[in-house]
Amino acid sequence: MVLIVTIGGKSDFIYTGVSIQKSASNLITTASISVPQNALAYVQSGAEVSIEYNHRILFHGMTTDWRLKFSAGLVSLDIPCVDYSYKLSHMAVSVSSAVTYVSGTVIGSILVSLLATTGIRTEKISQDPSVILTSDLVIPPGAMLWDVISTLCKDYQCLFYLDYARDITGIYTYAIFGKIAYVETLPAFLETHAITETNLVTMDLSLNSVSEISCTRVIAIKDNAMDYDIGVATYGSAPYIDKVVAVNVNDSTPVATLAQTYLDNFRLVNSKLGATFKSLSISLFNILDISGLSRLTGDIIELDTYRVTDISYKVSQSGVIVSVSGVDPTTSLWADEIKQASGDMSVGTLIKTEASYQAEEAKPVYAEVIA
Amino acid sequence: MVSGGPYSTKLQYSDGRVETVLTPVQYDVGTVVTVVKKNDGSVIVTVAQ
Repeated sequence: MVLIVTIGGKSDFIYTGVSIQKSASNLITTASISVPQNALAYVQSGAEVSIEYNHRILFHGMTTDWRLKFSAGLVSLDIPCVDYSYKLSHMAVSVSSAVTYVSGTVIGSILVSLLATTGIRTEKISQDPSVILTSDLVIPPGAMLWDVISTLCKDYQCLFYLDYARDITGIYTYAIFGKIAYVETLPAFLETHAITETNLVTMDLSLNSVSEISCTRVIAIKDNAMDYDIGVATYGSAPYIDKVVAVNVNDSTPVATLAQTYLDNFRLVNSKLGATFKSLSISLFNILDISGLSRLTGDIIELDTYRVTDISYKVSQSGVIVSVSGVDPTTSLWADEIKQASGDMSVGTLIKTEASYQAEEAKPVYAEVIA
Repeated sequence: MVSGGPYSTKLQYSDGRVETVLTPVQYDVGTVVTVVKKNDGSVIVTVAQ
């Protein structure tokens, strides 16, 4: 096991525990490190942290705060860390005036400009000349970077996430942004891990069908000042389980096509994999191929590859335990609803998401009558 | 404010967005209003106090 934990430039700590949480449904990756000594000299708030396992960068970010304990005659220091997504949700695009990007601007170039001061590298942001603003984008003063990026992702069906890598200057964070067709060509989306009964220690592996949230009809509504354009896509026959989706009014894609895309995606996340392995080095969006587990899959499981959408690493001196969950690799993970569905898809989460969405929609805003 | 609509009312939000909504009353240009969008698609426009 080659695990290198670097905090504030120092990597020879003896650690008692390291854990990392990463999920496609939530941009923010967090880590927690425990060391059995007072290492405060290296752990001032904002110190750079990286965690590397078997030459794979699992985490790159910064310390947020710390907790120093003295218990049973031993000193320990707990260090929670967060990756650079923290900057996105805590840095305003503009302080004093609205920023406008005019219709026709390539969205990739807007992303590069937004990330300019964050320390996040931008070379993996797709500069697709066909993905352009269909109307002016006005960013009001005080809007956070993440709110703008998240809106762009949803409105233009693009995926954004952060990943980490190393070059001669050290470990760094880079952003990935683009249409699914672009993102699927990147190494993280293509790397496949074959799981057989003997090639690694599978502590548990299960397949879940989450039928209680499955939907058989999507009603996509484009609300252009109460002039509704509605697209409906169905699966099977009535009665249907409905999901209503509000689509971007500026999206020129036929609303029926959007409804079908949503329906396909919602249905794809209806089968989920959950698994825990020992000593598996894996990244978010990698593919798990379980066709080698023939005693599990038998003849009736159609889907034997899963895209990893949640990862939890737990590292102790006894080894690395990685828990993952996965969905159908063809799922397009650009919409919040689909990312939510691929992540923690309990009924409770759904209700909470719907409630926060409704609260957001019902928030009163001021406007001036101009005609 | 004149009733008897629906009237087409053009609104400009503080972030610069412009939207046209149907309202049951006609507002004078320059009136500051509060807009609430409900999840069912309906829009409530009231004069800001």
